[in-house]
Amino acid sequence: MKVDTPLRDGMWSELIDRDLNLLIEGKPPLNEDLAPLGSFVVSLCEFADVPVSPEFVRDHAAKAAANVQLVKSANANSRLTSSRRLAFALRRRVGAAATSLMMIVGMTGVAWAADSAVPGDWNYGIDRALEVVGIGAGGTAERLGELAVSRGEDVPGKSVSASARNPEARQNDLSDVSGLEHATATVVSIGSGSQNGNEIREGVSRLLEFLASIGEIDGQAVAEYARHLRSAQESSDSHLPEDAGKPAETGKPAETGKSG
Amino acid sequence: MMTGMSLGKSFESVLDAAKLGADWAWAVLYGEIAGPVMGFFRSRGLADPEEAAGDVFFELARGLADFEGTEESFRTFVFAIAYRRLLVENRFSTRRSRTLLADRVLDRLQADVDVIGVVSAPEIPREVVRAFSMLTPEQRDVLSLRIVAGLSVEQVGEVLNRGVKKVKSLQRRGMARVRAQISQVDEGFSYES
Repeated sequence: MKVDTPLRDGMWSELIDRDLNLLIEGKPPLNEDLAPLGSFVVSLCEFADVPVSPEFVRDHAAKAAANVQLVKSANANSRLTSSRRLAFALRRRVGAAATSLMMIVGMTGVAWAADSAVPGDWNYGIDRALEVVGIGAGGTAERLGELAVSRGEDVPGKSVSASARNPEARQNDLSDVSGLEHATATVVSIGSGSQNGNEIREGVSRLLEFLASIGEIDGQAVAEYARHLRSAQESSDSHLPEDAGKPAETGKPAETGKSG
Repeated sequence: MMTGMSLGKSFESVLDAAKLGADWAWAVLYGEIAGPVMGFFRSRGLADPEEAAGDVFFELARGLADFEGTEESFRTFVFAIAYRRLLVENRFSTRRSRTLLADRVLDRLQADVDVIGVVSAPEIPREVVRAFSMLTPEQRDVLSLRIVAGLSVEQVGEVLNRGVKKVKSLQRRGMARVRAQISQVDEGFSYES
């Protein structure tokens, strides 16, 4: 429904508002075209003309007054309750803050204690885990210190070696040498007589000679193994060993039928 | 024409007494404002304006202790409660029934007021009711609060939580629609009650 009226077109809203305010206040508008709205406003005002009996007013007023008293007493009770609630909330917050503080202090202490750990210490794993996330990461200097300790050397600031702190650490070093012996003996025992086996033994023999020359592990022992390998290679050129392919005994080079 | 309160200087003392729970003070307040509140509910087509007004005064009694202000702001305060009550009623009535609002409003407004305590309410011309029912709910809100409740544009803005410009715009559009209705009716149409 679209009907052209002065309210819709061609009039300034300020003037319309002024006239509508006049109408609502019961005064005639300046624009006569709006005059018919006067009766509408008067009729609408009659909605509010609801005569109310004195009994009705008295009854409802008494109820409202009683409600006020009720609300006042309820507020008084709720004030007590709210103070208790506040105290409880405060206590809970203080407890939570104390727990958080204790956790932070505890974690800082563990991180500090683990920072100086070296391989073999119970908290070395914690130290490495914390370093992964960037806590107490000492960088290259710390790594070199830990390496020196793991090799049994005393370094400034790490006067006690790992073997002194933990006898098992030295045992681990020995087991490394035993492992090397085992590996060497196994290499000697496999593929004896074949062209590939001879090449492998030749290669390993040279490696062991190199290790002996630079003094790694135990020079004398390595030189002995290299000699065994050399003689084994020479003998395999003439005939096959009886125990070719048999795994070597741990800590000893495999028997090749001829010792150097 | 305006249906404003007229307690004037005595308003403060009446308000203080009402806060303390004095029956007489509530009787004064009720006598002044119950009519416009019920009229507002009637104009919005509530089935039981008296019950709704009772709810408004119950809420008023609960919140009056925190109220500080003039007689004018008290009126705004009361109609803000009334408007919230209307929204609640509309929400429930929308759930209950999907009948056309215009017909529902018309039927309710034309029905005789048969409420205990209310002596008699003047009959509103059918044409006025029809023209009013053709407005949008927002336009009805504004015109009810402006004309029936007697609030200023600024007060209506506070009650509806709208800006003054928006209220004025709704008022203009609502009145334009009513004016258009008047232009369309036959010669027998009259707003004379």
